[in-house]
Amino acid sequence: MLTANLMLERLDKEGKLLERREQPSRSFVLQLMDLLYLKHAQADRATRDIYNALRTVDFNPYFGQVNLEVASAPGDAGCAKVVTNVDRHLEGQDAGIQVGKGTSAPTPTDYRMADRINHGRSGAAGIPASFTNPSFETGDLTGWTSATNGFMRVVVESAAWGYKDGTYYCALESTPAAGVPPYGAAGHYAQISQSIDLTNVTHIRFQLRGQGTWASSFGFEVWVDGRPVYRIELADDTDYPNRMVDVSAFTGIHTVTFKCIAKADFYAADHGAWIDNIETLNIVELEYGGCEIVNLTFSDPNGQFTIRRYFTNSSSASITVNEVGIQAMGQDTGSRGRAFLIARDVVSPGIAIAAGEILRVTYVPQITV
Amino acid sequence: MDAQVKAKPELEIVNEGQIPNLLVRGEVGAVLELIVKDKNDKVTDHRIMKSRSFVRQSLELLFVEFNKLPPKAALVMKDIGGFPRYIREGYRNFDCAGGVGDLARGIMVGTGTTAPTIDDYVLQARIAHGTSAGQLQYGGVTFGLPASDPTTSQFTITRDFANASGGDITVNEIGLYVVGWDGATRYFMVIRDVIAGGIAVPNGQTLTVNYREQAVV
Repeated sequence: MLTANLMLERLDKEGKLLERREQPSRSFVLQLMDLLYLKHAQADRATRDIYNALRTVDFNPYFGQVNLEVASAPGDAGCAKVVTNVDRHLEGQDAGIQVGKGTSAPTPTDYRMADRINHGRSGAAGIPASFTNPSFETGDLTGWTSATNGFMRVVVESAAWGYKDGTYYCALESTPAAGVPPYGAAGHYAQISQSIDLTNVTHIRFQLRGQGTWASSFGFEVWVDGRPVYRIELADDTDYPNRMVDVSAFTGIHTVTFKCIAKADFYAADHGAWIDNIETLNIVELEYGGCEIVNLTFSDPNGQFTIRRYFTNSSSASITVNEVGIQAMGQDTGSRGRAFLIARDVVSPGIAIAAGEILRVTYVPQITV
Repeated sequence: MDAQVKAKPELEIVNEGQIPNLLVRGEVGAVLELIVKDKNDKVTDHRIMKSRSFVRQSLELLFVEFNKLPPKAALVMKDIGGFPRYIREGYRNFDCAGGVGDLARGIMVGTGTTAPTIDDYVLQARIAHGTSAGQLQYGGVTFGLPASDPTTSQFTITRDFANASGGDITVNEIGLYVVGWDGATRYFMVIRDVIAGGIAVPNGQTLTVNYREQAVV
């Protein structure tokens, strides 16, 4: 029989212990059984990855033996076993111990953390300021400043599209032009801007659409003052839900600009970018250290080893961890590295990690004869 | 505490989905099911119990796999011959898909009765494959696909042992042998259970052993 103890320890930046919790881990989930089955039976196995996609895991992967690997590098660092091809790349944070804010009770079919805390340093102490008229529901450009160049225009419209919020959205698009085609050329643009206090804003999220059959002639950009912070090449008639822009590097009042700019000639009116529901977010992150697996020891009738990871709060916010889990790697039959949740536990009440503090999470799997 | 056998005089086949959950929340373990059938496929004995004895090599192999130990950091493990082997990452690790008569991989049975210890690395007295006196015919190992219900996820490892030896045989111990990789395939025992009182397999009858590996939330 195998069981596991789960320990959470809150440390100050000098490593001094401030708080310690210990509880039995209760929640090894189906993906662990899938990966063990694959190894026992020596057969490929379809199992659900952390993005809810069913992946057929290759029992004999060609590029490295990553199946069931839990040990991992820190944060964004590449995992050595799978960096032979960018398609196989997983980050260190994708495997090993995970933390999150979710509070829902674990079930055997959990395939991801309920509300995972990503690796990073963002997180502000206060409530983020909001854009004025973020969804254009006034039916006009109240709160926004617009500018155009060449055969482009800014207009608030109300047509239906997939990710529109409410009635209206803002179109940054080509305008009918007199003269000889092409009607527009590279460098023509339409943009809207607004000044906002970004002190407590870590990310800006918006809904975007590449509108029309000439949308692929355009790029879409976000600027903070004179600095570009985001760009995407649009495709024809394509929705881009929940675009995220990291603005955690900015504090104080800045001008944020959303811009549709042509990168090639275009020959028709009303093509370009549609944007809606521009939100400001305060997303908290913890810096993931490497996940180590150490201290294999036996003393009849018991045996155990330790799985451990440090999480550093380098944000300005206090972050409460309510759930802890373990993700293992696997390689699918397309030779791509995937991450699979194999355990998930809820910590109740949550443990609050103040700015500058460190959380040490330790799982100790144990067997007893 | 030794595993307790719940002998059931009423004979019935229990479907996989109806197997009683003998594990408690948080446990990853195995439920051991033993079924004896006569040549007419009539069940003559049926027992379900909690497997109690993941032994040392099970945790060691999990440690190797979780860490993906490279060759230069291989872990020394004792194989079923008692030899030290330097085991490292490998897709064959945990392979227990033994074929008919394979005495290196899969579920094994024996006559030993000593209580399991964590350091057990081989069955005390494995029963050989064959039709001679004291032998059982080992079938191929088969697997039930992983599945889950609201509390439990599991998969099943199954093997049949047919008695054509001409005499009755009592199975007292059951184990699971798997592969560990050191550049070649080596074999390791990861589970050993002792059946209190043993389970008799009369001549002409077949013992089916199911290990249902489970995780309970």
